[in-house]
Amino acid sequence: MRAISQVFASLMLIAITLAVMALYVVNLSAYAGAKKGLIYEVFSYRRKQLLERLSLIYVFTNSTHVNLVVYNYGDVDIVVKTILLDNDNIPRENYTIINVYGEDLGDVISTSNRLAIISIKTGMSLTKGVHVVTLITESNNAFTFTFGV
Amino acid sequence: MRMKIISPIITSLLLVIIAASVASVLYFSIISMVDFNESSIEIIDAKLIKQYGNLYAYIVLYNSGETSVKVKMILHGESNNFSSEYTVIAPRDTSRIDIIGTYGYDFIVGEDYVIEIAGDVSASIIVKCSGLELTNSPIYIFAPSMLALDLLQKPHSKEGSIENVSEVVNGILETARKLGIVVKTITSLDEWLELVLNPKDNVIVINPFGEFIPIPQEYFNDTEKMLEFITMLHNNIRDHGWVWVHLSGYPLYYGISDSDYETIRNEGFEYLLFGSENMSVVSSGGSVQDYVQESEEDNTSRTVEFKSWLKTYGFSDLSTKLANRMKFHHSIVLSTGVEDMVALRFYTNPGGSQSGACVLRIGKGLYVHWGSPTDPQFSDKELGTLGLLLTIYSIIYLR
Repeated sequence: MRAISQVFASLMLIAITLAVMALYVVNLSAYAGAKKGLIYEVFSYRRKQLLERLSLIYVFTNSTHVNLVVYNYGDVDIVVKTILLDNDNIPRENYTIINVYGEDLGDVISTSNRLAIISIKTGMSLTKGVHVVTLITESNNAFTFTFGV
Repeated sequence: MRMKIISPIITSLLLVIIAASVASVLYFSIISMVDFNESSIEIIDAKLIKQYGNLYAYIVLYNSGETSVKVKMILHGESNNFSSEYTVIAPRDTSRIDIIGTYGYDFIVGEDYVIEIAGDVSASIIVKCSGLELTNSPIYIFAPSMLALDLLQKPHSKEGSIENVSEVVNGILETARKLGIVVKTITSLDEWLELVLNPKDNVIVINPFGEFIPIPQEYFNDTEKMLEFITMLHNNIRDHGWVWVHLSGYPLYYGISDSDYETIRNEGFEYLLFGSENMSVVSSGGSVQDYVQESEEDNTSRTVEFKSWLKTYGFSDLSTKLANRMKFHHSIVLSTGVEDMVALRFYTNPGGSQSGACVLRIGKGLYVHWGSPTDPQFSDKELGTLGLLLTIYSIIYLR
């Protein structure tokens, strides 16, 4: 009866084992690569959220506008995405973000220009009482402030 | 030296087993790779923020797969679903999907809601709604379709009272939508009976039928049985913090069920306020038309503040229409037993013996009374709006 040697059989088994291991390594590497990207995204996203800090310093109103003086005391620039005042979602054309010299800052309250005035066009005087404003940032932080008029 | 050998059969068998094992490993690897690709969307962040009527929902997604995916967000509210546009997310890229709009009426702050991802891949996450709202108490309103409405066209019900129940309901629903208040409709007498027999806490019931109270068939046709049902209602107000909102006419003067109505008279109102025990006499003005005005010297008077509150929430016209002096049908006579129950007064007569619009405290709950103003007249829609706002203001102030 013809046969193969034990050495040859062992070599074949080792070769097959290595092939299977290689397959696993390739799969694991692909999986880890994808997860690494996910973990990076999650951490960078959360980090930015945590580093955003905003406080309301002062509010002054007139017959057509409400002006919110805010201060960015965080470590990252804040990009304002949405403003809700009481029951109204303020359209972008109805508010401006300016610095204390009146220069337009676009949507960004940066760390290099921390003090900003958000001027909201209301078209009428706010009624006496307590009002609520919420600033939602591009990082999806919601800063809610109450103020009295 | 003689070499030991393995027989070819055993070797073949071994190789077959190994080949089968490798095949299985490959098969499961492929399967796992397929699963991996299918779940290639990962949810990085999701939020649900409500500010009164406005809702701001977003989800941030990461595509960890090797191919682009096209997905949309579906937000599951109390009664409705809200869907975003489709977004394509490139491989190994992050994208954010928003739903922004006046959808606050379908979400309650503090409650959990499902955000679903649909499209090339699917996923879901439960998110707690945060933010601001006027009330989280469940508000129930009777649907006009639950009764035969033509019965409500009785001539005397038009004395400053409700003519078109649907308009009252429209006024309530429109206002609720604007302010982000969740309103549920009671669509049948069975549903109404179920709610009364198995009461939840802090339920607000707005009755748009004026002087008619819907009575389930089991308690109809017999005055004693109708009063028994009203007593259960009283117990729910007293023990479970219910709020009963009366908008026009003599409160609970008639019972109505399906297509017929029966007169209960003033006992209906008395049983609602006092239950079957500790009964006192109370009257709701009848046909007497009184001049009723706000009484600022009383610390329970809230008309001025209520008018200002209305303006804050964008109801300036209604605020202006609430004149300093108004004429009411069906004001409440503040007799000895009733006077102690007054929690808020909006309009009283100069002597303070009658109130056209007030809130009475019954145990843990409230009875909100809005008589029938004849000067100025309010449309049915305005009446619905006013009834809801008066109620919300009262519970914010008193709870």
